[in-house]
Amino acid sequence: MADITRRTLLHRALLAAALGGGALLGVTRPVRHKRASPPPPPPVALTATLARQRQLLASYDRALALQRAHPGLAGLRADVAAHGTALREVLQRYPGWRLAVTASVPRTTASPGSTPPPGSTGSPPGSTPADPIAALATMSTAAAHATSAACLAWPATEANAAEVVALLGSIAACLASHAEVLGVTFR
Amino acid sequence: MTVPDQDPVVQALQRVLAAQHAAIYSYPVIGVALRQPGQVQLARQLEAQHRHTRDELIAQLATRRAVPVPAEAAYAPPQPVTGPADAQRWALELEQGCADAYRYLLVAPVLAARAAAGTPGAGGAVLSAAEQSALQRQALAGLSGAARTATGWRTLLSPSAPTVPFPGLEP
Repeated sequence: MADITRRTLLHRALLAAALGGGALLGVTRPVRHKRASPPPPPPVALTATLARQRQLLASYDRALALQRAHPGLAGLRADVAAHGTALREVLQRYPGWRLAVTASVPRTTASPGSTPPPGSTGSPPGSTPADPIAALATMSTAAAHATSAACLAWPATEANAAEVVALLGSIAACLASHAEVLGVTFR
Repeated sequence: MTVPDQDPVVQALQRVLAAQHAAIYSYPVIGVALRQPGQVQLARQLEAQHRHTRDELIAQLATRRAVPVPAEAAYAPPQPVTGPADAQRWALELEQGCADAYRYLLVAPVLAARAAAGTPGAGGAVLSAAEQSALQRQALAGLSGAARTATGWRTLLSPSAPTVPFPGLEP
């Protein structure tokens, strides 16, 4: 039998004490797992503007199906489609939006019974208004007002404020000119 | 204390004023080249509107202790004016220039807030919420008005494509 020196005994005692202390800490202190917190949702002003744009685009599609004779209507629809592209590009800057898009949460059409975004008017999806051009003019005017309000309410200190304010202002101005074209030229 | 010439708001107001000077000079020349009485009348009305806006802008710049940019001696059309279509194109370009200037004014309070937050006193006036709102309302009204007027001229030039998706943001 090998002799155990005093030094070996001391080392083993220290090791046992360290292991015992570690085990005690592990039992008494709660283990906190790091959880990934979800990124903040994208600004409501932008998602609401995009929702209005989708409703308007759907209305243009319905109007075009009924009135292909209007040569300018397709051009106005193209403008509205371009608004959607630009808004989605800006929304890509917000991690919450990217997460929602990859999870396929946002839908392209309003679900039945959902509340329309502020500023949207017109007939419900699927129905055919008596005068689709007049309905488009009304929707464009309402969307222009709502987008202007979103532009004015945007905080100046927000990281993307310069780009967002310019975009929302430009979209509002475009929609106002659409309302005029729909109200005058197409009458 | 801010230096007016470096203030983004002053710079944007000067830009809008320069666009008004161009319009005031050009619309009488445009009116001469137009043939339809309704369009000639419209050119006169627009000249008067731009004069009114110019006077308001000069007063606005004076309150900010900035010297308003003077009008240039002459403004050249985008191409020689030989008929109504050239005149309408010139008018369209003027309104697009106004829309572009108003877009700068819309963003100017944001730039001023950034400048004020970064280096106090180095070009960014601290705007009150009311002042910022008033400037942005003025810019939005101007941008929308210029976009609608441009649409009117574009309707005459290309009736099937009277609008652009992003007024004031055109390349």
